[in-house]
Amino acid sequence: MAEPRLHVVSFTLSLPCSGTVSDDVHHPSGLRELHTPHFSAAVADGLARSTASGVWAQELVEASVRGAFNGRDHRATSLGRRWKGEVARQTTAWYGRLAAARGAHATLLGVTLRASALAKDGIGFYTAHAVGDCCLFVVECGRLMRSWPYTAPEQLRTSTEAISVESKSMRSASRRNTSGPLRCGTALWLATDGMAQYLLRCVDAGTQPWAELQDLERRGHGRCFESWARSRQRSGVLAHDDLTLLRIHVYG
Amino acid sequence: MPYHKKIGPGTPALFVVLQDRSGSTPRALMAGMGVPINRAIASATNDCLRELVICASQRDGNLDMPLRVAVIRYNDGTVQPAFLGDLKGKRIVSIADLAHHPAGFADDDGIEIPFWVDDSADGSTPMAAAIRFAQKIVEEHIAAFPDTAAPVVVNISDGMPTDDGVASAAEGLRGVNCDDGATLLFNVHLSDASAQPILYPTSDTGLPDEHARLMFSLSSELPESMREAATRAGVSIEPGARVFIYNSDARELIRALRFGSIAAKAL
Repeated sequence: MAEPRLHVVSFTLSLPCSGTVSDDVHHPSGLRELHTPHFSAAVADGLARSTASGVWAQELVEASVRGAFNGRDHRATSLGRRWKGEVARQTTAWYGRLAAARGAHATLLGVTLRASALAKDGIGFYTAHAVGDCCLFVVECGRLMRSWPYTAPEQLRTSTEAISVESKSMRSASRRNTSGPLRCGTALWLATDGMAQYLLRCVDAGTQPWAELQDLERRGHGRCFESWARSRQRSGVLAHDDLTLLRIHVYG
Repeated sequence: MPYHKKIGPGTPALFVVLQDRSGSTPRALMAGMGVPINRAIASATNDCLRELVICASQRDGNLDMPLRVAVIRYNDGTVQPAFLGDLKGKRIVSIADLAHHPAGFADDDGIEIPFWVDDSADGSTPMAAAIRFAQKIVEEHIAAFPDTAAPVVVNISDGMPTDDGVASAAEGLRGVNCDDGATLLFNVHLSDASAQPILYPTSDTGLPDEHARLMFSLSSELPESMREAATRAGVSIEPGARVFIYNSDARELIRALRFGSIAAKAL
């Protein structure tokens, strides 16, 4: 019997805060379409108040998509060592040495989709893990079915959780886990805090922004997204922050 | 929307530190810290400059951030640039200048910590003249860089000016506008009067003496966007709070800079 597979399309919209390099990191990038028994994706946000945070966010995303946080062993120590080596490699100046001594923090949201012939209510399952103020939105037929781990925009404003390079274990880093069914047409949207807050506000206001955002993907592969985001930032409805939104659509 | 510009290509910024280097500062110990106030002022300044360089270098992986920095000392009837070493005499320097030209390094438990200014202090406290000097720097900056983020001036003092017109000088500085908003005047008052730190008060009720009340009155109101940034950083601040810190250490000043001023725009 053939192994069940999912037809997955993913697309990432990402925009650095005006004129700067982004501390947001994601995987995969751009447009992906594949038939696969399982699929992993992640977004992370290196906190601006931490050091070499983008490097740390990259380490976490890579670890998440290769499944390092799925098992029972959640050690993060080796990731911290890798980070220190990378930061030390990048600079030997005094400011680099002091920065490396301070560590770094990042938030993370990772998901894994698995096809399953045993799924009673669909075509498979998703599992997700999160630390900090990234947010997962589960959308079906253009309507939000679930946001996780946050359900209201004000919850994001007060979240201070993050993973430190000093973390010895992902268990001690306030990690949350969830899972749910995948149906044909289910879309998972992964957002870092700036976009997540906007999306939760939209939902609060009774609007469903998913079709509009998907249309931005179709029209310009990011260029339309930048124009869309900048206009909303100017009017104050979208945070002046690094923005990342990763959509995973499951078609069967 | 005011105070929303983030420093980057096409959006420069200006950060000015005014240092009270008068003879009253080494004679008093900062309450609760037991450190002479002149030394605390030097530490706060050096810590801020170090933080700006570290964060700027980490932000983009280089030192190209268009942040212009001035450190001005006022004492003994004079107002002049405070940098030592290679930067001596310079009114405004870049982040790269700061990174590449510390005046020296101090050993702190085996870690080399850079410094740019020292703690020498004597004579009078021409604070009004210093604030007017800062206003000139700010006006020149805005004329040269119309797209600048709102400039930030941090005045660190024991709050005992010896010249007249401090209030009107501060009002003049706070009234210098660019597209991003009015210049922010941030006051850090270091005193031997009370050990209890006071952060971002909304009124002068509860301040320990007339010197603290004066410094409070000179300070800008914290813009709402920065108050929101503070909330995100876990610091709760009342609406209408002034950018005024009383007797807190350099760590709090740096934290304030991160959400409340240039660093929030830059980093």
